[in-house]
Amino acid sequence: MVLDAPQRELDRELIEACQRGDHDAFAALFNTHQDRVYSIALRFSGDPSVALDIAQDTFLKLLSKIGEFRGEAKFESWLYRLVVNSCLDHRRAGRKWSPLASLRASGDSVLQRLLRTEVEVSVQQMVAKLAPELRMVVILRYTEELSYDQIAEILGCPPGTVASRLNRAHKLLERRLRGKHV
Amino acid sequence: MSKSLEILLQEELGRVPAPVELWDQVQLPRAPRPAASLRLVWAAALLVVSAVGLHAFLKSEAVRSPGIVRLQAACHLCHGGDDLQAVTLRGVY
Repeated sequence: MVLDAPQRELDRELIEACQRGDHDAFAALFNTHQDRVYSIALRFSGDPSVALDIAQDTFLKLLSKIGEFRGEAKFESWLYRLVVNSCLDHRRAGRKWSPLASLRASGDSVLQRLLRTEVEVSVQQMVAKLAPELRMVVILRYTEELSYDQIAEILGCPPGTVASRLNRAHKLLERRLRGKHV
Repeated sequence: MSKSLEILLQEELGRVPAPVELWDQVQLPRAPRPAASLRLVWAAALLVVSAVGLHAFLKSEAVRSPGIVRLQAACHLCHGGDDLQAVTLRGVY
């Protein structure tokens, strides 16, 4: 999902204000991008509490590194890189993730569990089981609707690598979901 | 890839709204993680036990070579009195 020109212009002004230490500008930047950051973190970790940690890390990094942002790359790409790195850092830190653990947690109300469809849970479980490099490509493609070129720029790899990772992920997901929902 | 898989992924992996507590968490300085704190406590405890053990070993008569005594004498915190006197008496200085 790419920002339109007026939004990009607004972002530029907010970034400059943020670089001058304007707290309100940071709050506005946060409001604009919080869903994007949180969604990637949630789809990658499969756990809302871990996703909250990853999103927090991402915004703290954004705040501490915003002065280094010179505008050579698009702000969106820069932010995507921050969140992707936060996801991978959290995973490398060896924290025990239980994919979708909280979705299945017994603390959920009966109504919530009933409302949660089988298909939603199984698709997300299958995605959570993909290797991190495949999972991230799937998330950037389907959660953020990014093109191969945009994903390649964010991950720092050739578009061909993105295509092959996506192809591998599709095959795995198709095999695992066959007979269930596809 | 089948079209239905693509549609399924688009439907099930869409964006979700961030919880309201995210803003509070971003504004609050993060408390150290329990695991990290525990590791720090263990490291500090190990350091103290090692220091006490080393201290007791170096103080024993078996290792009272002039070099060690000079080393001990350098630590006026523990050996400022008797040891320094002993060193002086033995003519180390």
